[in-house]
Amino acid sequence: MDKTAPSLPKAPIKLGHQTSRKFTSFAIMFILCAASVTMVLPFIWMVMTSFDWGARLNIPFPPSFWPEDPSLRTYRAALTNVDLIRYILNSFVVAIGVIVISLFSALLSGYALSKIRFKGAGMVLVLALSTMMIPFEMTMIPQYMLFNQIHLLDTYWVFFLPALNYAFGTFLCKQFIDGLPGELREAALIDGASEYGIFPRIYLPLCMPIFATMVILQFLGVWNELIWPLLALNNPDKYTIQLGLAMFNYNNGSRQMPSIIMAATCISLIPVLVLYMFLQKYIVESIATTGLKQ
Amino acid sequence: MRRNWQTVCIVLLVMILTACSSSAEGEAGSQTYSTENVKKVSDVSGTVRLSLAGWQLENGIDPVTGQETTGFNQYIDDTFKKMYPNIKLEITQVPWENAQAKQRAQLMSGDVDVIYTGGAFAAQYYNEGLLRDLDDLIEKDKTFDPGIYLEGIWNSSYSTRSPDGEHQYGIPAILGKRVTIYDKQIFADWGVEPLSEVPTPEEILEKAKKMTGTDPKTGEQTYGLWFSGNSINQSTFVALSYYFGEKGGEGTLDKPGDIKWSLNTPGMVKALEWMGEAAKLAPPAFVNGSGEENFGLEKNNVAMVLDNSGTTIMSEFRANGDKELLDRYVPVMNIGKDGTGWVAVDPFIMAKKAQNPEASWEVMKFLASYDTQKWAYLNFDYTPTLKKADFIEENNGYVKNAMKMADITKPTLMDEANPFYNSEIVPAVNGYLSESANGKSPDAKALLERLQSRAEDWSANQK
Repeated sequence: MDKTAPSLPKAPIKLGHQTSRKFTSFAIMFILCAASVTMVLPFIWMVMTSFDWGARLNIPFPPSFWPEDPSLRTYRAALTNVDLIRYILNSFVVAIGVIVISLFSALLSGYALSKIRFKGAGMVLVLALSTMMIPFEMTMIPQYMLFNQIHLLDTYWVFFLPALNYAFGTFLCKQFIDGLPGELREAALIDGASEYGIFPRIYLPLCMPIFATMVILQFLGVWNELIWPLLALNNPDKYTIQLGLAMFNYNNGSRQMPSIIMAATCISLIPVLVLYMFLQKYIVESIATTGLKQ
Repeated sequence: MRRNWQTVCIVLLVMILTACSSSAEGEAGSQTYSTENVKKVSDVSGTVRLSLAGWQLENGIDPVTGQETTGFNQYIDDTFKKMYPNIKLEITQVPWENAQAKQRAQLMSGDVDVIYTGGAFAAQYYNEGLLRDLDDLIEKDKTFDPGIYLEGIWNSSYSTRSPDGEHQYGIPAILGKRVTIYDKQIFADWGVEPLSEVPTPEEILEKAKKMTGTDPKTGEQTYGLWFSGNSINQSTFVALSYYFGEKGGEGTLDKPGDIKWSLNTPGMVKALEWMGEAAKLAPPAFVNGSGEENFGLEKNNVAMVLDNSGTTIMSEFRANGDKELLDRYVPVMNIGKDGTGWVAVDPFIMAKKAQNPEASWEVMKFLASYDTQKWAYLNFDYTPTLKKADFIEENNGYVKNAMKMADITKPTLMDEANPFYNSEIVPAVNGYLSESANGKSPDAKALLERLQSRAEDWSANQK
């Protein structure tokens, strides 16, 4: 009895601890599941409504997850009334141009600021970052007037030229390259490599996670941009996808055609989903890597 | 395995998109105009930069009826280009919701000659000196007949005529449809007499009170009326001010500093109190502009809707040829005096910096002509601004009533063209409605006193 007595109080404590851990884990799972459902439900509702021909003039009330009049006609109307495919292709052209230019600029400047310690590097970084503090609404009109003066309105240069200053990308790259060993560069320099050789051969392959993150961020930024394309483009043949989506209304805005707009929105999301599908490995890696220290 | 799955997904998506796409580029829409007698009418030459808010360029599908429609591009190819072979059109299509930002930028940078836009925007651009008067062009052109347009619009709309009434700066192209419509079936269920042809606000309120509650036949909740509680132009308040004989003040919008405001008069108090009462009889969601989603359909639960376009009802009729809903939803005149109400007119206007006024004038004239209005009505249900719109279906009482109303209404300072009305009065009225709907019994007189004081300050600052 004496031998077993001391162990008696331990058992209930152990059980209580386990129960408490299980409960905490269950509560966390429950909250996460509820949050996931909250995020996913509007998306599912959008997809389901996009197939509802009956919802082309009014959103059904009370809201329903199953289409009253299931049909692909909503998609046909979306693709026929507005030249969505052309706008998607235009958005691709703009996105690719912006991504190439902005990533080129961000990676090189990030590398230079991180590894080549030149005079005034800190000031350059602060200056670049300070451009992020000015909201686009402040620079929009001067930018419009500038492009008007140099006769570049209604061309894609209105997207490509501002992409040269991708301050957020520069900051991201600098932070990321800070985490990569500087010894790699020193070893390469000792072996006779130049800076132009070191960056593309040694550091660029190591930058793939941040590269993928920036591609996604820039792609989403360009894809979702409305105000600047609205102001800068005049020819409908050059419009981007968000302008195309904004074209959907009936009778001068008196009706909004909900299911057709949702069909158009679903179509516009496809390229984003495809891109995410192909880059998700790098995105997850980049998230994981940001937690590691050298 | 995963890569295969991704590939399958993409192939499937491409197949679905291809299946839903138009079968051929330039597929002909339904032919709603004749191309046989189209002849050259003018030798005027030049390039005209045209900015269109909200028009559909491509041939497509009517989202309501599912029938094919002829887009603007094809209509222009079939008609305008043959009539004016020396005028080159450069078209910018602007989303309706974002029209103001884009078109203002175009006007300021001299990037546009002719614009189609919302009436309130046109009035604002004119007051800012961005538009050109058309008087000289109208006087010179013997082929142009202003008599084809509804007189009420041509002579007094803020969207086409200068605030002092001396100059014409726009041609009316499309009318906003705003009529009162009631559901005959709900009236019958409750045993309430149908609305008069020209109902007064008192009649509407009295009948709405009787029909708010549980429908004696269906056992479902019904509401007496609906109007928008968050309207950006509070057209119901405008119509009520007409009924109570209130103009909001004396003066003109080109001299805002000289306006003598009268917003706190007994008539205005009555108008606002009417809205407060009506707010209690509407579906709760009316404060957000919702709650009438089923009006015009089989499962409706709202007896009357003020300022409705009847689009849903006509669309159902056009789509199915079923007259049942058309008979059930009856249009009457608006609630202003003698059936008047707020009239929205969207015009064609010319930029002050227009590069070629002669060619631009020809374009404007063509786009507001009988033929273009007929094409716009038959393809996109745009309400015409013409005296003789013989292409409107006999049974489309919604459009006919809207046109009758437009012909007799004379706008006052209670109009969205008035910056103070838009920026101060409308939000205050919407706030009042929200409080009324939530049972807070706000003080209408005190609110109007505050508005009067703010209006006087605003005018003083304009001097």
